[in-house]
Amino acid sequence: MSEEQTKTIMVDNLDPGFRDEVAAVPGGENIKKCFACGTCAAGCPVTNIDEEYNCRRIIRQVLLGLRDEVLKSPLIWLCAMCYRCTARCPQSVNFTDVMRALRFLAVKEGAAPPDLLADNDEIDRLTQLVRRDLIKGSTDGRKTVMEELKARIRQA
Amino acid sequence: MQASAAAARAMSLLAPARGTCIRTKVYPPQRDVTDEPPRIGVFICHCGSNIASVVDVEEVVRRTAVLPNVVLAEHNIYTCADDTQDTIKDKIGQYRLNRVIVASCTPRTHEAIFRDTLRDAGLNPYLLEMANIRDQCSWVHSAAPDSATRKAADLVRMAVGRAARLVPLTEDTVTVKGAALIIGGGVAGMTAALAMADQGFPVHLVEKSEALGGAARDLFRTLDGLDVQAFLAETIDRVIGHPRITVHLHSHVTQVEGHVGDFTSVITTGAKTRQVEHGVVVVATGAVEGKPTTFGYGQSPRVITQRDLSGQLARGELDLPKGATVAMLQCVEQRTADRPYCSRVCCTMAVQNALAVRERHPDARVVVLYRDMRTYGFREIAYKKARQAGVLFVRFDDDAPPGFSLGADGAIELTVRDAIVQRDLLMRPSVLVLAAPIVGQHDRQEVSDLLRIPINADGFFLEAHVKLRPVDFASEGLFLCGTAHAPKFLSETISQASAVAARAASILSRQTMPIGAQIARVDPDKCVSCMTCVHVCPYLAPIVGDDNKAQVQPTVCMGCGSCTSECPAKAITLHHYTDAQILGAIDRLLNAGPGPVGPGEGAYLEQVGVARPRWTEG
Amino acid sequence: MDTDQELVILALCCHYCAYAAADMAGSMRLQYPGSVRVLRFPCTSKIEVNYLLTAFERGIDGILVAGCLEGGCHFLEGNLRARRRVERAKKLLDEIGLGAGRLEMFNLSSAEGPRFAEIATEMHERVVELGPSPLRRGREAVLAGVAGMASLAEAVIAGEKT
Repeated sequence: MSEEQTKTIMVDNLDPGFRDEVAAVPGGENIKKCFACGTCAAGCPVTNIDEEYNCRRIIRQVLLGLRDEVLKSPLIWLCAMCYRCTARCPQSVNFTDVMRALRFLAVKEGAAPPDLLADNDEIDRLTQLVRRDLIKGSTDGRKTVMEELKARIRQA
Repeated sequence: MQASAAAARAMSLLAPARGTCIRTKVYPPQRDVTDEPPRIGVFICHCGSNIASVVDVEEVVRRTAVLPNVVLAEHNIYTCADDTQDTIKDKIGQYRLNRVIVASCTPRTHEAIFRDTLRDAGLNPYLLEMANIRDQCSWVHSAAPDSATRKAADLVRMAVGRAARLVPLTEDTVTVKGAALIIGGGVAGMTAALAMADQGFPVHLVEKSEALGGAARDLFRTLDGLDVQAFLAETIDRVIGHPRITVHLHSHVTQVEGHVGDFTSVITTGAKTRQVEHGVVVVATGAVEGKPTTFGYGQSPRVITQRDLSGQLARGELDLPKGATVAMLQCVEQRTADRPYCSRVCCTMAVQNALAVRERHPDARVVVLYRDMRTYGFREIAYKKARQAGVLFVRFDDDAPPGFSLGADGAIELTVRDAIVQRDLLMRPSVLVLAAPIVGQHDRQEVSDLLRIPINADGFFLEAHVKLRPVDFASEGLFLCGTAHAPKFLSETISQASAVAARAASILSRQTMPIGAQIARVDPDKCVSCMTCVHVCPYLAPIVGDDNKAQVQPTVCMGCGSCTSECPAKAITLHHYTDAQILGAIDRLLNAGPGPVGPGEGAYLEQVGVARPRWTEG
Repeated sequence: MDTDQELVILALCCHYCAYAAADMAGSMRLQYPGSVRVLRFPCTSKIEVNYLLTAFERGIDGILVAGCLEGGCHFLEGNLRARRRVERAKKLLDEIGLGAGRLEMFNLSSAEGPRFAEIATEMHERVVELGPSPLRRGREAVLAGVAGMASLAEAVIAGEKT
C-alpha cells in the first residue's frame, strides 16, 4: 500500500458527491445499499489470488468519497466480471456492474488511458485461450500440459 | 405476549358477554382414604417407543410389583391416551387404589392431566406421583439400555417411597376483588388501565409525578411517522375521562398486603392516604435515559443524546452550519462489562434521526459510528433507506472505541479506525449525538421491597419466565409491562401492556379462585415465636397471630419451603413435601426404609406435632 | 440400589431451573451417565442438611444439588440458602471422614440442558474417582449377612421337611 493509502482520512473534506456520481451511472445504482458484510470479497476469485483486491474495500472507498484513489487504482481493472459477488450479495449491490461504472468513470475522467479498455479486452481473450487449452489438454494429456504450464510460470 | 395482547383487545369487545357460556365440570365426591393403608397402583408408560426402545418396561414392572404397598403394576403403550386414562380410573375402583404413580414423561407437562384423572376417579389429586423415566432416563441413556432400565426401576421405587406417604390436600379458595392497582402512569400503565377498564374492571392508576405520560412525553415520532404526542394526549384524555379509572397523581403506593385476588394497599398522596382493595397489581414503573458521563456530555452543548436530538428536530431547533458534520456514536456506556445489555431502541433512533437530519439539512454529512446495527424486523428497511440517503455507517470494535477530544474553543474531534479501508477517520462534528443507555428507575429498589419482586442484574424487573410467562411475576397476581421490564419500543410496550390486561383478567373475571395446596403450615405447639420464618419468606406469607404464634397465610404462600428448612423448632411443614415424603423417596431408593407403610403413618404424626423419634430411625 | 450394581448419585433439583434443564437435556437427547437419579424439589431452599446426611448414611455415593443461577432464584434467595446448607453439610462430611467431594452445589438456568448433562457427567466422574461410598459397603455387608441367614434358615426348613 502506498503512503497515501494509509494516512488519516479527513471526513469533513470528503467528497460526498462521488457516491452519487457512481450511482448515476447505469449499473452503479445500488452501491449505497451496501452494509459492508463482505460476502462479495469472501467469494471473489480475484481476491482469492490477490488480497489487495477487495470488493468491500472498493465499495467503502466509493462511499467515503475517495475519488482519485479509486479511479486511479489499477485494482479496478482486475475484476474478472464473473458475477459471483452479484449472485451472493444480500443487498443486491450488483458489484460487477458497479465495477463497469467505475471503469467508465475512470476512462471518462482521464484517470485511466483510453486504450486500457482495448488492452483489457485483449488480455481477457488471451486468458480464455490459455484456459481453453488447459481444459482441452487436460482431457488428452493433462499431466504434461499442467507440468509444462508450471514450468513456464516458473520461468516467467 | 402478542397473543395475550390480541386476547385483551378481543375481551374488551366481548366484555358484556363474559361468563354467559360457562359450563362447570363436575367431579365425583372424593373418597376418604385417611384410614386406609396405602394401596399404590403403578402405571408404567412405553410412550410408544420413546421409553420402551431403551428401557425394558416389563422388567421395571416386575421389579415394581414386589415393592411394599404396591398392589398393581402394569405397563401401557401411551398412558396419557384417553382410553388408558379410562383404564386407570377403572383400576382405581377395581383395586381400591388410593395412591397412583405414573412413570412416564415429565410432571412439568403431564402432572395436571393425571391429577385430573384422579379427580375423575374420586381420588384427591395430590395422591398422584410421577416418575420421569423418559426425559430424564430413556432419552438421556439411549446408548446404555441396561443402565437405563435399572435407573427407571430406581426412579419408580423412589416414587413408591414418596407416594406411600402422600396425603390428600384441600385447596383453599379466595374471593376475588375485581379491581386492579397499576403503578406507573406512562404509556404502559395507561394502556393496561384502559384495556382492563374497557373490560369492565375498576382500576387505580398511581403516578408519582404531576402528570401522566411518563417517558413518552419526550418522544415525538415513531419510525412509521406516527405522532407520539397526539397519541399521548388522546390516551391521557381517555384515561382521565374513563368512569372506571381513578388516577392518583403525585402519589406513591406505600403498602401492599394480601395475596392474589385479595390485596389491600395504601396509596399516599402528599399527607393524605387512601386504602384500596384490588385483585392484581401491575408494575409499569418505566425506565429513564441514563445521562452519559463520557464523550464530553454535560461539558459541551454540542454533545447531546439521541433523545435530545429528536426533541430538537421535532421543535425545529437544530441549527447546523453549511456542510456540517453530524456524528452519532452508538452503544455509549452500554454493552460493556459494567452494563452488558443493549438498550434495543438506539440503533433505530439513530437511523430515524439521521434520516431526519439528511432531509432537513441535505448538505450535512451524517456519520454513524456503530458496533452492530440492530434495527431488527422491518426496521431494517429504515436502515437501508438511511444508507441510500448517504448516511455513512462506520463500524468499530468494542476494544477500539473512537478517540475523543474537546478543544478549549469547544471544538469536538473524533477519530475512529475504519476496519475496511484500515485507515483512521478524523472528523470535527458540529454535533455529537450519543446513544445513551436506557436504565432502570432510581427508586426501583423501593418498588421491589414493597412487592418483593426480583430485579435482574441489569436493573430491570424480572418476569416469571421469559417465554412461558413473559408478563407475570413469579408471585401470583403481580404483572409487569413496559420499560420497567427491559428497554423496548413504544409499540412493544403497548402490546405488553395489553397482554397484562388479558392475563390480569383471567384472575379478575372470577368470583373465587383456588389456591394451590402445596403450602407451609405451622404447628403452634412447636412454634417458639422466633420470627425466623417471617424474615425468611420472600412473600411475607408468615405472620404472627394473636396467640403470638406464627401462622402462614395460605393464599400468600407460594410453597417454596424456605421457612420449613430454616425453622429452628422444626415447627413448619410444607404440604406435599414433608420430611416423611422426601426421606421416603431417598430411603426407598437406597432400600433402607422400613417395610410397608400403615394407614396415615409418617406425615400425619408430623402434622399433629406428636413428639416421636424420627421415623427413619431403627 | 441393586447392591452389586453401579454407583448411585442423587440429583436434588429445583423444579424451576435444574429439573427443567434436565428435561431439556432429554429433549436434546444429550447423554450422561446413568448413575444420576433426579429428585424434584419446589426450590433448593427446601433441601435440609438432614436430607443430605440421611442419604449419605443410607449409602448414597454422591449428591448434587442444583438450583437456579444466583440472583435468578424463583423465590429470590432460596438457592443462596441452599448453598449455605450444602457448605455446612460438606464440612460435616469432611469431619466424619466421608469427604466433602461427594457433595456439590451447582447453579444453572432452565435453558441450560447441556449444562445439566455436563454437571451430571462431572459429578459422576468425580464419584468414580472417589469410589463407592464406604457406608454403602457397610450396608452391603449387613444385607449380605441377612441374605446368608435367610438362606441358612431356608436350608434348615428344607432339611426339616426331608
